[in-house]
Parts: sequence; C-alpha cells; structure tokens
Amino acid sequence: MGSKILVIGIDAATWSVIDKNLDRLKTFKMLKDSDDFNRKTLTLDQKPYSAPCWASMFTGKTEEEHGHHEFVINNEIQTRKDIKADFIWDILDREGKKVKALNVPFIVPPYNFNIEFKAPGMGVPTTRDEWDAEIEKVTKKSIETLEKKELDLFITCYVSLDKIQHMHWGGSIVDEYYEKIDEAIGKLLRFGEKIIIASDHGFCAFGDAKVQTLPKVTSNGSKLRGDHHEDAILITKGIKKEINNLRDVFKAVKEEV
Amino acid sequence: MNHLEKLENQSIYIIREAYKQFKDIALLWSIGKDSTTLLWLCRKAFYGKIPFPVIHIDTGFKFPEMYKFRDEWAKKLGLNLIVGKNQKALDKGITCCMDDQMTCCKYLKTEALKQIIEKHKFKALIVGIRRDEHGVRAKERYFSPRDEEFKWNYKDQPPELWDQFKSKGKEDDHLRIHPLLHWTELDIWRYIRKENIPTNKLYFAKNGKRYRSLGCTRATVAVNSKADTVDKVIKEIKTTKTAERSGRAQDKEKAYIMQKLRSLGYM
Repeated sequence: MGSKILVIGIDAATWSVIDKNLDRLKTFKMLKDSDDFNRKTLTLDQKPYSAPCWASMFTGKTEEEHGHHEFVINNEIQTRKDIKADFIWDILDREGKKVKALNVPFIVPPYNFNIEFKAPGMGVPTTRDEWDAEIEKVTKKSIETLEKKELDLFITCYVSLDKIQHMHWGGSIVDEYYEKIDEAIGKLLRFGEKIIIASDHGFCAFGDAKVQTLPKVTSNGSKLRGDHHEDAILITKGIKKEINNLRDVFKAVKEEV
Repeated sequence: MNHLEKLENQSIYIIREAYKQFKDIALLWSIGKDSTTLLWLCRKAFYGKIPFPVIHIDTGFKFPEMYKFRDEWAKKLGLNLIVGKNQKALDKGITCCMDDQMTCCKYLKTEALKQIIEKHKFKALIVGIRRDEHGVRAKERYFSPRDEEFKWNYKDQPPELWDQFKSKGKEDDHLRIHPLLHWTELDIWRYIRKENIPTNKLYFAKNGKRYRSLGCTRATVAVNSKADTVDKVIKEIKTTKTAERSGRAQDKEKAYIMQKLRSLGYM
C-alpha cells in the first residue's frame, strides 16, 4: 500500500535552518546525499503568505486568479467554499483517481479531502503540546491512511514549524522541532513512489525579508521574532517536470498521476 | 407603556414596515426561543395570520424535540412552512461538525438557505437575532443589506438614526430584517412569560442540565442548571456569568481561531 504520488507540505521549512543542522537531521541528510532525490530553492514570485501560497500550490493558479488572500476577511474565517477555484484533489477525484489530502493549511482549520481529521489547536498550534500533538497526529493519520489503501495522490501537511519560527526564530526550540519534523518525514517516505516535499515559503529574522508579511508587534501585543522569506524548499523524487514556482507543483502532480 | 410593551411596539413597527416594502419576504424560524418569539410578534402584527411563509433550515442534525415542536406548532398556528434542506450536501456525506469544521454550517445552513431564496425569489428575510447574543451581532442593523454573494459588510452599513430605517437596498441586495435586535435574553424570557409563548422543553432543566441556545445536536452542549420553569430561567439569567451561546461549538471555535491568528499577527 502507499501512494503513486506523495506530497509532503511543510509550512515554512527553510534551507537556512536545515543546512546548518544537517548532522542532526538524518532524513534531510539522506535526501541530500541520495541520487534519487533532487533538491532546490523555490524562490516565490508571489507574496510569501501561507493562505494564498498553499492555494496556489494546489490550484495551479496565481493569487489573483484563485482570489484567496487571507485566512479571515471582514471578521469571517474563510472556508473552502469561499475559494472559487478547483483544487488538484477536486479535479483528480472527478477523473476517478483515488485522492486524499490531510491538513492542508490554506484555510484554518486546515482542509481535509476524503479524510476525517481534527487538527490540534484548530490548525493554529501555538504551544509545545499542540506542536507535538500536530506532528504526532498528522504522521499517525498519514501512515494509517497510506497503509489502508493504494492511492494515486496523497497530500499531507505540517504547520507547526511556521508558528514556532514566528515566535522563537533564532532559538534552540526551532532546531528541536526541525528534528521532530525530520523524523516524521522519515516515516512517510517509504509510502511514496514519486515524492514532492515542499514548503509554502521560507523563513528569516524579522526585518530580513524582502516583503514584510506580518506586523512586528501583533494586535494583542506579542512580538514576532521571525518573518516569511521568499525562498521555499523543494525536494522531489521521480518528478519529470521542472518545478520553478508554487503553481508548478499542481502541474507536476497532474502530469505524473 | 412598560418596557416589554415598548419593545413589542418597536418590533411590530419594523415587521410591518418590512412587509410594506417587500411582499416577497419570509420569516426564518430556527425553532429556538428568539425566532419563536418573533413568530409570535409577526402573528400579533397581522392579527393572528402571518401573511408570508415561514422557513426552517433543517441541517438534518437538529434535536428530535425541535422537529416535534416545529411540526406541532406549524400545524396549530396554520403556518405556511417551508423546510429547506441541502440534500445534495447530505447525500455527499457532509455531516455536522466533521471534516472541515467550519464548513458544515456553510453547506448545511447557508447553502440550504440560498437554495430556498433562489427557488422562491425572496428579496428579504425576517430573522430573530439580538445584539446582546454575540459581539459580531452587536454591529448589526435592523435593516441589514447582504450582497449577491450573501455577504455582510459590517464596515459599510446604512445609519439608523432616530428610528429612520433604510428599508430598501441596492438592486441585487438581499435584506435581512432584525426586529428583535434591541431585545436581551432576559427580555425574551419575560415576554415569553407575559404572553405564554410555547417554548421547547429543551430549554428547561432535566437532570441538572438545560440548553440555553439550540443548534445542531453535535455542536450544542447543555449548561448546568436547575431552572425547570420560565420563572426559574428568568431568575437564573439575572445572575449567571455564563454567555448565552457558550454551549454553541461554532462560536467557541471561531473565537479561539481568531484569538490564535491575532497572537501570530495574522489579524
């Protein structure tokens, strides 16, 4: 059992942290050393903001085309129904392919397709307990799903790193959770024939990004230490199409499935 | 004129004004205490016979006591009842508070209501919301326009000064009319007592629990209470520090998510 194509999304994984910790990150080290895997930096050509970025990755459309800009508009939490575009799972499902998607964070709580899942912290994990629970539950649910049925496409995403980096950029806790994510990914790789591991954007110290996406001090008074960076990560296995932007992930999956 | 008579007077004035402006209008009846009070006021406004349809949006997950209450009183009061259900969504397996937790309400409530409005070409709906129920509802107007996508822009609403209402919207606008906006939960219960309005038994304590607000079974929890009569409910509300909609899951989840997004600078 497993999936013909396995997509692992990591909200805000960034090479600068991965590369300096390669001796601790066994999976990322293996992915770097293996000839089967290609790795590159995916420099975004759109604002590095999770809601529109994930939507672009899985609709193949630019932010202007899919029209999904924010998690909350006019005090209303945006849901799948507010986005007037087909996602890759909608299209493939109509074509009769076996598709499942877990915890995709273009909305909050994150979206699930053909899977029942309740995200810890309602998909916005902000404490150690919630970060641990997210990594553990997403991994467990992914393995359960992949062991149960042969799929054409399985997408699974982790969001904890984004929240940790916003709050603790530069701290040892960031490296600690990269290690946990590294371990989680290591458990999933055996289920994918063709694999894409991608982040929606990268990360950096506040003030270092070309585009500042969030305020330095939030509306409830807490200070943010990290901000989104335009350089996302990309690792692929068995994918022929050259992926040069987030929309290309959609196109690559469509071609390969 | 006492306080309750003033409230009643104002509400009946708004209901009559709405009916004068829109013949293609309907009353939204959730089977709860507020919309049943509103139903009562509509009957009074038109001398016992409501001249427009009454809509119940059935998510398929309401309490059995609510369905029983609906059918019994729709018959007794001679209502022109329209039941709206998004059968397509239910057939697709969308269930209450599962999968995408914020979406079920949209499919099973909003979408079902949209379908009814499109089918019957209603231009306006009378709805029993109150300002004191929820922070967002405090921003509402008596005559509240929604755009063609059904969305409410609370930052762009008509002023309602000195009881002057903008009771007509733009061409494509759909209007929500809120005759109970100025009522409080306590006013509702006092009026229920005064008028002896039929009320669902779920509102009264059984085994130390009662519902203060009714919704879908999976998204509504009972509160601890010993109030098993209207008088005791009134007494309890006077002193309680628990929010009326504290048992409604969608309100809690939304507030929780918003709070978290604010802490990360997303709002």
